[in-house]
Amino acid sequence: MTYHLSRNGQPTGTCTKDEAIARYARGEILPTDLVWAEGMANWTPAAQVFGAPAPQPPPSPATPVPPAPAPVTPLPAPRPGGDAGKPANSLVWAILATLLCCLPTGIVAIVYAAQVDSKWNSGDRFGAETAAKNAKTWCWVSLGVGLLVNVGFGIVYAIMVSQAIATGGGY
Amino acid sequence: MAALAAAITLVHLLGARPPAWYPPCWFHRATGLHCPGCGSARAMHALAQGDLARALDQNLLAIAMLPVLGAWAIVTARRVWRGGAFSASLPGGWAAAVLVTVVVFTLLRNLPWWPCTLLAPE
Repeated sequence: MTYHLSRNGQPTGTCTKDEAIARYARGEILPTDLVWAEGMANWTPAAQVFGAPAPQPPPSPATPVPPAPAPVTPLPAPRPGGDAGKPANSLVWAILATLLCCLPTGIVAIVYAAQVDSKWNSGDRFGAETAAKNAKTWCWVSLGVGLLVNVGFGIVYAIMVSQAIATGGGY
Repeated sequence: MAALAAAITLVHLLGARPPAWYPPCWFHRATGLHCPGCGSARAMHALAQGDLARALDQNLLAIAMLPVLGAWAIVTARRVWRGGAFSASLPGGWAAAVLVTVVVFTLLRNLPWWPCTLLAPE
């Protein structure tokens, strides 16, 4: 069973149940952190999932540990399968690169964007993150080559036009 | 938004014919084939002139993607406005659909027979 964790509305990763219990006991997971796992209706504070917080050695005996602030924006309940922590697939950039940069590299970015979701859904977290990185990289490659080629064409164009004007030829 | 409106107005005022300085597609120059983006600049130009038919004729895919990108822009703007994180992601499964669409579109618009020729830009 995979536990999805979040703090202050931001996903902080996933781990197994045993890991989560151990990290909760060590104080790495706060009682106010939200937890969600398959079968749970909603994100739930860790204190409700794992019981009362384990006694922590206080930083100084005189000052009580202030309670951690409640999460500002609770995450929406994830759909079955769990999208919390899923890497961004950058599909918007990939589409724009394909349509605007006029490059086959945009299609490569879309291929990787598709892999992000398929790998994530098959439980391959590492593969999904690698694909997300590749998708982003190829969007940048598209933008870079697109700019380079178009500026290059622009310069060649400008030279052609200025020569045509200089020689008085009909352009 | 203001920049977008200004750009559309400028393109509208520039006249009915796309000016020659629009960047040409190097892929088309090099191979003679139409890439999936070929004609998208002309399509946007036609759209700014209010000529939807010519826009669709230049690049059907680019026009079809506009509502998708527009919806993404609105949803993302609202999320960021409410303190959420910016994300260029679209829902899972869309990427595969987009990939199939782009590949099929690219193949079809390069076939020399009617009605595939309708998909090619001018």
